[in-house]
Amino acid sequence: MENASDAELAVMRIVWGHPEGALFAQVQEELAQQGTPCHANALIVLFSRLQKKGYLRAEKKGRRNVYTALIQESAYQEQQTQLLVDKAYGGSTWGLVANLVTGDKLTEAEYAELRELLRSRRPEP
Amino acid sequence: MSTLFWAVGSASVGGSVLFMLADLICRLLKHRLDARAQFLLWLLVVIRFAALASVPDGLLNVAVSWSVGPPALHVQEMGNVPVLVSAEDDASVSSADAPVRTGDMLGFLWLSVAVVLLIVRISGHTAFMRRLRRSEPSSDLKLLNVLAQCVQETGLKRMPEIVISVLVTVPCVAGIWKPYVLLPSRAWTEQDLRNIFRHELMHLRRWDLLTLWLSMVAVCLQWFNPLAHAARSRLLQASERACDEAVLALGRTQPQAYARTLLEAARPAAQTHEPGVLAMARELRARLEAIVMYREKKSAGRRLLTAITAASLAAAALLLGSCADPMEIHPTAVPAPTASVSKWKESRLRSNATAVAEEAYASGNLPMFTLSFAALDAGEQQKWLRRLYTEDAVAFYGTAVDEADVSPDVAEKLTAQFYADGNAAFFSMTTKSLSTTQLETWYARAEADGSLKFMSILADELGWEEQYDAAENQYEQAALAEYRRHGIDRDDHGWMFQGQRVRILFDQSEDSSYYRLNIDPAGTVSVHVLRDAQGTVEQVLTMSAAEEARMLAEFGED
Repeated sequence: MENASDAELAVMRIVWGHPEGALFAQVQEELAQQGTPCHANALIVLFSRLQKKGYLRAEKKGRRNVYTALIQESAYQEQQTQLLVDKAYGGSTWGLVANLVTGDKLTEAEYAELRELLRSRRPEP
Repeated sequence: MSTLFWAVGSASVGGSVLFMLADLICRLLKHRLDARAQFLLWLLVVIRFAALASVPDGLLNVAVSWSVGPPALHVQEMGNVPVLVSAEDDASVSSADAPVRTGDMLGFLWLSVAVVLLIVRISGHTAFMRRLRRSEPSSDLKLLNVLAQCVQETGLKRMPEIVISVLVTVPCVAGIWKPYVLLPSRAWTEQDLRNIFRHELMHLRRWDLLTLWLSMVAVCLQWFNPLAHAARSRLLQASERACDEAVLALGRTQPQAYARTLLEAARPAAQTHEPGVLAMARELRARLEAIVMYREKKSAGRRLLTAITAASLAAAALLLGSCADPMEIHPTAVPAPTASVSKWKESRLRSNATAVAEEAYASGNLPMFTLSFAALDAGEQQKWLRRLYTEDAVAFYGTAVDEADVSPDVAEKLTAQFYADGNAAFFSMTTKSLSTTQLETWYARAEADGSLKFMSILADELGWEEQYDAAENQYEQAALAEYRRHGIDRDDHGWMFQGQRVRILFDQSEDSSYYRLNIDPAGTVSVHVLRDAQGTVEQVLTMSAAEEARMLAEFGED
């Protein structure tokens, strides 16, 4: 799947927030609320690019277009993480985790959550 | 092959004569002819150079026939009867052992060069477009927003992609069907970006890329004629100036600011040492002068001058028609008898149209009315349209508008009246006769007035569903906020008034520009929203049982 640009991702995040499908006006309004107002013509371009890249599909309901995500947010994140691991850490997931932990990038609460997660996911000996 | 040679030769001579004529006109009317008119002049010249098709009985056709003399005739026996045969028709004269004609050789030489040039140009363009399509379009939201606003200003229907590219040194557009705006990678100010986008979008709006291709074909076909190359260059210069004028005519930028942008955009190209740079600098200077001297030129005299000039040159282009072969005889077209009969009927109908229309209208005969209406002159049609509106004859009005070629001016007056009267039905039937620019102006006005029903009609006509949806959503939010101040709210199940579910919600402004009727049988209270003359909600009244029953009966509810 082709990479999405920052502006396209901003649109996708809003669409992901509407699993039932997002309306054009909803996306435009939420973008404006986030401080990145987007002209209707510009948004049409972004939607059309995302459709072409296979990120979402548009369905006509009456006079309106309803935009639904074709790739889930978690699947997208997983794919991007794999890309990062392959590119920056030569395929070593451990490298990424070590960098996150040693680079003081996690808060105390996140450390605690991570510990809990590791304990629950630890494979049986 | 000789036929082709003659076609090219006559197109070349015709084009050259027309070139000199156009050049003379430009010199004589220099400042009185606007850039658009000059563009049309040079377009005609280029078309003349490219048109190898035959135009019957053109002056040049006759001239060439005279210059080569009458066809050589000689006596040949057919059966036992001696007949006169022209050399062209006589197979024995052009037999295999006859010397190859000079026309054939020249035709072959011309065709080979023309084909090679066309292939080189087309393959170059294809490679460029392939590279362009592979480039990542810009996702800079600021750039996209500025372009989107300029698209709206210039009245384009489609938004092109922006590509920041190292392929270009100056901004330009490419791609006729899927257009791209190409920007060299530089730090542009927003003002410069706006002016650049406006200019480039004007090229798209005027279909200048098609003109570019046409001129390219013309110079490939007329590769041997320097005047064809000069005509192409004059056409391209005129198209640039026409775009400059069109941008200034939008009235959104000052000529001085626009000139500064032009200078800034051309700077890197002017700093190169390529051979054409001096000519480019001269042309740039002329453009800058024209921009700074720009005044809105819309006087009737100027328009008339443009029309006369274009018409005379078009007539000249036709008279200097090409000939596929000087010996070819073009029979004069005889109109089919059926066409004459229908013309006769048409003239009869035209003379009686007013009476027939009156009678058909009185007797409710819609087909007959439609026929007679089409035969009326524009003034009569306009009177009828107003009358049909006054008498609220929707069906007659609808078919009349569909049948008649209502001019945008007349349509504009009618729509203005329907808009003022708040009559959406008649308004929607008339909008199809408006030009895109008129539709956009009306949309902007309806948007400013907050009139959703007119915006919806205009958005349908313009294909602006998405813009309309966005505006509708915005109005809906505003309306909801205003309702809330008067105790009306909405939840997932419907409307609420002071904690009770609403059975009937009726809201209509005085001028009908705002209308809402919502009926929910599960509701327990009915409300009537009262608005003042400005359309602001004054108060919300609860309906009595009698009022409620009357309203339900009116809308057919139990």
